[in-house]
Amino acid sequence: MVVTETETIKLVKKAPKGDDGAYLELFVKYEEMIYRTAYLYVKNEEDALDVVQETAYRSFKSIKNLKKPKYFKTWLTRIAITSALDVLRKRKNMVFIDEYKEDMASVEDETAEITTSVSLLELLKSLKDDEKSVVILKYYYDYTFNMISEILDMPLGSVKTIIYRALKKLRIEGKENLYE
Amino acid sequence: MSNQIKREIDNVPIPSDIRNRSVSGIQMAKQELKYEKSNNKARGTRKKLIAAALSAAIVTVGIGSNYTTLAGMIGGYFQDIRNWKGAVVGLKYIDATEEILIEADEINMDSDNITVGMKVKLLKDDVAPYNITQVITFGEYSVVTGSG
Repeated sequence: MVVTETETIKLVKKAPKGDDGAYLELFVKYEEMIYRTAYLYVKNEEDALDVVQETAYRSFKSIKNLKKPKYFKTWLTRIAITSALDVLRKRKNMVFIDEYKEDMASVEDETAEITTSVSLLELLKSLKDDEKSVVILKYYYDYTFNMISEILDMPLGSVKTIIYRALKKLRIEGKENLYE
Repeated sequence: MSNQIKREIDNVPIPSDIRNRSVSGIQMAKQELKYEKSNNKARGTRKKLIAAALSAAIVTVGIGSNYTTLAGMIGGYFQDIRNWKGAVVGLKYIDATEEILIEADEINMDSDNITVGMKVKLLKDDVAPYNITQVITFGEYSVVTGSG
């Protein structure tokens, strides 16, 4: 899973020359991360796999536009999130709304404290897309607020406001650790 | 907090099909890039083909004609082209369709014939049908009078 920066740069440089093997070698190191991120947005396996495929497709097609290979992961993350949001936009049907309501209902039944892993995951899935994005980027990808601001093309202040709101929803204590 | 969220997300099970989907995505992109590349090459080749076809497309005018009436004869040449707008100015058919520019090329004379080459330029070769055009050929035309 760990990819050194040197290794990434080496593989990224091969991709625009049509070296799909080198690109696959690089991409698979991130595919699980992409899948799990996508899953939180689309909430089902098949759509999350579609997002992985779409991210692989879009990223290989546009890898020549990546000016700084060291930002490959950031760039790929942005593509993955965009792809996941696109799936949601395309879906926009009652199933999603029903699922959302079910999620919220189950959340309301929970006690105030988060005690099981299932409830936290469900809570994460139930967040609004922008809240989900900042939480995932912050706590799963370990990006700084500045990086999140760049990836989501969102003002820094908004990122902080959204993450504060999201964490409040998640009922997680520890606000003192928010602004590191 | 950070660890808790990370742990939760890392617990999302990974389907066995994931590798196939990564491969499929990259392969699809590769095929499309290959197609786009060959399409761009074909576009370059197409221009050559068009040029070749046009160099062969000549209008033969009976001996006895002269340069003064030639422009008018070319006007007659284009008269049969329906639904085209524009006008013959000198040796050029200006703004034929806003998509095609046609002009008379070199004039060669021998003992029996005057041969006028025609140059056609596709002004919008990135839109259909021009982006899929391989060769342009002229049908049979006759010059009726010097005024068209």
